[in-house]
Amino acid sequence: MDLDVLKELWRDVEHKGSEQPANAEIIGMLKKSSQSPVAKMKRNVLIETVFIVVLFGVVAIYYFIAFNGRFNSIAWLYTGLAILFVLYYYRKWKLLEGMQCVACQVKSNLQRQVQSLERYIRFYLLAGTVVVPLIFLFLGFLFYYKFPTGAFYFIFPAVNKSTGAVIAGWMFWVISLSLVSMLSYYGNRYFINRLYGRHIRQLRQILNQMEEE
Amino acid sequence: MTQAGFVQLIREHNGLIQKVCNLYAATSEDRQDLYQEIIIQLWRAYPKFRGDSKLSTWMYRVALNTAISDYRKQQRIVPTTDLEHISSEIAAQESGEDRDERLKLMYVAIRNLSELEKALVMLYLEDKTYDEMEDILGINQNNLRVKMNRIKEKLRQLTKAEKYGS
Repeated sequence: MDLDVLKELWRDVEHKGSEQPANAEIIGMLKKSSQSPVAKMKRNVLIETVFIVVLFGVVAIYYFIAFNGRFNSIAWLYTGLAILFVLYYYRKWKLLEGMQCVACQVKSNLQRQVQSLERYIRFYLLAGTVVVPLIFLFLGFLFYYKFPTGAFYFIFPAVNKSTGAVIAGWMFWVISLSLVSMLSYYGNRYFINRLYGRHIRQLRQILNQMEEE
Repeated sequence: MTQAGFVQLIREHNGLIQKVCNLYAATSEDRQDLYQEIIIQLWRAYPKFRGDSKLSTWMYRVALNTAISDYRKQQRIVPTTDLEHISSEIAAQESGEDRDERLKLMYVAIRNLSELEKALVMLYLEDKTYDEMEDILGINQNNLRVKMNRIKEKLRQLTKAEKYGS
């Protein structure tokens, strides 16, 4: 038996005709949102952006208004962070925009998806790794702002303390930030692999099949 | 293009979309989801269609891209197709038992093909030339011929294995 036998049978299926959906049914489908992975990722990016802008915006406004404007610098810090996050999400959005070309040839669409997804993952991993130590530094800054004379022994030494105490403080921060960065890197890698690993492996596999002679 | 015009277009090429859905989705629910996704992608992509290729070629590209690479649900259902459904429908119309049996064997074998191989088989069954296949898939014709020969052989082996239960 070969494909030519099936071809004959395939034509029978065609002649038999397939079920036609009603016009209203098709119009209804056009109003629904896409469930493709890229569309879902875009929706997530949008939701996260709105969430961050609202959250940081509220906190910044609070610090601008409360305490008679004594903590304006904190408010500006939150505003700056919000801007950084928006830039981060904008970059993600742009990468996602270039990920899809459904009307392209199947192979070039796959190549585009694999390359864009790899770039997206690299950016996600880098940003996700960097953000954790940055948050630590940010919290440390906030702490010094509130307690400029230092506290908790060597963890937050006062700026005017002895050299030994300051060095110990620095050592603590360098070691703990390195550890946190490492944990953040491996944690992110695991998380990203859970999210996109299987998808990208499958895309690569199909692409390899297309390319092999 | 107006919505009404697009609906008309879909109705004219409904068979094409249905066939892709039958090949790439297992359950009727998944078929319905994939059908809807293809319609949405066609609707979004249509304003950019410049007529550089045939309309059917363009539709095959969108449908196959959606089914193969852009539809995450397929990951759960990759190894299966609901060709038995078609098989039974045809069987109802066929009188020869031999034909029915052979068709069943072939459908079972197609289920074991990869995503790419399914696309190739479908285009072959649709009587697409190698030129058109290249235009849809982006694989050069020599490579396509090699792959088609391999698929034919693979199907022969699979149907043989299925028939003799090995």
